Amino acid sequence: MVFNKLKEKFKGLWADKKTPPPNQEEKKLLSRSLGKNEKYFRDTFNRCSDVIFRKFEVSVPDPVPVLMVYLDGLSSFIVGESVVRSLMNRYLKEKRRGDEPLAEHARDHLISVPEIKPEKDLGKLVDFVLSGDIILIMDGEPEGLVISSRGWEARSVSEPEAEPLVRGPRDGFTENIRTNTSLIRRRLKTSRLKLESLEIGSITKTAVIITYIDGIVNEKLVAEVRERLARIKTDSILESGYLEQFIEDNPWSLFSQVDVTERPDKVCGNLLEGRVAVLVDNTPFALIVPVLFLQFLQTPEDYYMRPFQASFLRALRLVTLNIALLLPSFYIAITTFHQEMLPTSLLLSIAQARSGVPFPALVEALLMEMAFEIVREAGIRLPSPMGQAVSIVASLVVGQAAVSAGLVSPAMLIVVALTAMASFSLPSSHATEAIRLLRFPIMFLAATLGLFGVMAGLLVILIHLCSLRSFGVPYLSPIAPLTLRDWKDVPVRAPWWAMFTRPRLIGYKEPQRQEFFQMPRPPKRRERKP
Amino acid sequence: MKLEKGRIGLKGTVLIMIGYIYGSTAILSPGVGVGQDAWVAQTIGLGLALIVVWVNTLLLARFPGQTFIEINERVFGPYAGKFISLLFLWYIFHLGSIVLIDHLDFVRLMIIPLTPAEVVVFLGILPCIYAAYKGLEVIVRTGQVLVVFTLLYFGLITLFQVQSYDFANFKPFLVTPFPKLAWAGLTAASFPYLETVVFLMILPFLNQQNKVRVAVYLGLFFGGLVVIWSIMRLILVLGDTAVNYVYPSYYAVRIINIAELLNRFEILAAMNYIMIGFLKVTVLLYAAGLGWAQLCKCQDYRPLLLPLGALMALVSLNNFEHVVGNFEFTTQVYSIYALPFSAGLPFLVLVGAWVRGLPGKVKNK
Repeated sequence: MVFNKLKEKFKGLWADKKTPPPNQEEKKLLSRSLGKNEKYFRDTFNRCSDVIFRKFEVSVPDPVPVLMVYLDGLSSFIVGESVVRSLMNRYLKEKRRGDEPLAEHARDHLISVPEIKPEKDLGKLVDFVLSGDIILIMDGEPEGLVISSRGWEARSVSEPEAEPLVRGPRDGFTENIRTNTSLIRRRLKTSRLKLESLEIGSITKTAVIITYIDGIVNEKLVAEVRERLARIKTDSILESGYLEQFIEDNPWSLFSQVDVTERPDKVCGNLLEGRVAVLVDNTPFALIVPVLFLQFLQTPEDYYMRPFQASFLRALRLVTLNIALLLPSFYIAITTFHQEMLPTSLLLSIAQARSGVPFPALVEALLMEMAFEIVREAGIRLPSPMGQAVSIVASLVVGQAAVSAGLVSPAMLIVVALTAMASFSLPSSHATEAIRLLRFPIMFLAATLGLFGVMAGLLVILIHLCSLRSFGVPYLSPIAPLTLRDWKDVPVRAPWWAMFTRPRLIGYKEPQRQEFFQMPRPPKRRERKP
Repeated sequence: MKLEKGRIGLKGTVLIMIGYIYGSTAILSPGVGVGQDAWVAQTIGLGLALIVVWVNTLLLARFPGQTFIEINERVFGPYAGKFISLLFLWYIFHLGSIVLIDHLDFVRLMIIPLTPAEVVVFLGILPCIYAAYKGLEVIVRTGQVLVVFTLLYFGLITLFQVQSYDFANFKPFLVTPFPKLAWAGLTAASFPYLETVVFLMILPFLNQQNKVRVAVYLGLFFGGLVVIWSIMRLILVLGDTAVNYVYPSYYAVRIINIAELLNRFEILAAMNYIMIGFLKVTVLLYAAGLGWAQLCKCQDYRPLLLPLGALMALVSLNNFEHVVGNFEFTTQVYSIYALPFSAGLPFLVLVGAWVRGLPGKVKNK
């Protein structure tokens, strides 16, 4: 009853929120009078100091007043200069035919800029100015001209800092979406690479590009991505993380169901497997869907190395994943409940080390884990010179002093340090995020119910992972559902000549990626003779 | 009204059948009573079961896409059909509680001896409820991971036990008197092979309905192979002394010690028993929940899982007074108790369907 009353009370509140935002004005068209148009623009860009209005006359042959509007800093200076110069030329050779509209004449004969188009809608013209184009309005003309002149100061292509590699291309995405698409296009020289562009966010009007390889990708997947992106009604997209949270399958899961990268080679590799990438303007991080859990344990470098080393590293990462999740819990469970599982000499040395420690193993582990998380957070946020100071303080004070003061045992320090190193060794911070958070509940389970508690926790995590889907693809594939054909790329990394097929649940439209039997062999004896 | 929208694949179904059959035999090691001939008894049991499940496949082929509860109602009408369904549901529910206490007794005795049984049982049933709540597809996917892990563990242990194998343990071969052996075979058929009757609730959701027979036979056969091999391993390693241990297979893993380097595998064994027990209880709990929902014509089976699971835990706590009672029940009473349910009910329903000529309309099409 109370609930119903509250509902009644708040009904108005919700209704208010549902009313459409007030910017749904009627479509305003350009007027024929330049004065009216100028007033409109000046009103719209009132108090916008970076908007530049330039008024001049074109003689073709009678002088016609012309208004040029653009944003300082977003439009290329060279293009602006060329527009003004070509229009103010007094010795125009081309004479206009009497019936030809001036805008058409200027577009076809006068302005020497590659991309130029007419536009009537005032609102759209304002949008073009805001995205860095030059607009040109002439007296007596019903159409204005939009001259493409986008060009602004941008960071140049540099090495991706979040995903460094030893062997592999050194270029990473930048904040400019065009640069990013060019980085992809340079690698995939095919017209089958499609780049669908759309705009999200009523204020930020962020450019978003859905990219995929036609024929390899599953059309339903592309349609699903399109639909989920179209569903977003928000005022701002400042980073691809915003989009990620809007399009996830299971938003309440700790595990990320979208992959994030700033490496164009990784994007291209994924596109070639039949995935879809979403590029977002103003951020170097692109999204990749669908993603499988085990992909978080892979790096692009795995594919550039020789297969043996890559396979070893993948196995190593599986081990470190388990260490990062379970080592403190196992330590707690074994020292608290199952001492018989340790060899006697090891048990004695652990018991000796723990003899002076005043806390139970759980408290000790929680203290050290919290200390580690604090040090890690402090190290990330500080500028690098201070980061060194943090690490010295952390290692000396928190580590050495805590042990010599008898607050924690050296064994626990080793466990926590190993856990930390293991979680750093995982290539994707997306995977470690969930592991980092799940470590604590499992530690509690271990402290209350020993290995049985750990096992129950692991089972729940496994069920959860099995129930997740990323854009319809089971998250734990190819382990569950079992797809042995894809195991060439998951626990191991087969040599490239053995990677015949794309992942079965993702790239099944065009499953074969290369010819069979390309293993390099020594030439036959007959061929060897010159 | 479809209660379960998921569809499962052939491979996954066969794998969870293997896990299901291996399930509690991992802990209870059936047939140690006939000593070195236990594996013969198991083989007889498997053979018997392979013949008996023919009934199940015929039943499923007659009513493709329908669970046992729906078939009952179709064949015997609402009242008699519901009565038979109730018997079946009681059996799978009770079986679930027995399997639960089998595994949790192990946990209680071997892993955390001082924790009260109630805590262990209720914590143990929680993952099962969660998995059943997520639906059949998730159960099968989770089961696949667990079974693949189990098979890997199996291979590893087989390899490491080689040094303790004593082939003389098989001798003398077939000295058990035939009636005793036949009885042991019947026991083995009933536990674990005919417990697969619960798959009458799951196989209707196989995505290729014409492969139901293949799934049943592959699952039963490979599951049987796993069980027979585990019993043979036990005889090879422990021989006559197997009778002396509460959990002989756990002990057989415990004594692995290769050059003081590869030892203490019992932690793997314990993890494996928990996993495989979880799988078996989950399948039974899911089938019971789905069955009750279909029996009562509910819109959804999931709200029933929590009460059913809690009841299962309670029943399992009160099943037996102690572990030895459990063993006695399993070896002496269970096969007689279970056979009417696991072999009798499907046979009864098949005969009923045959007499009534059901499903007539489908055949005409």
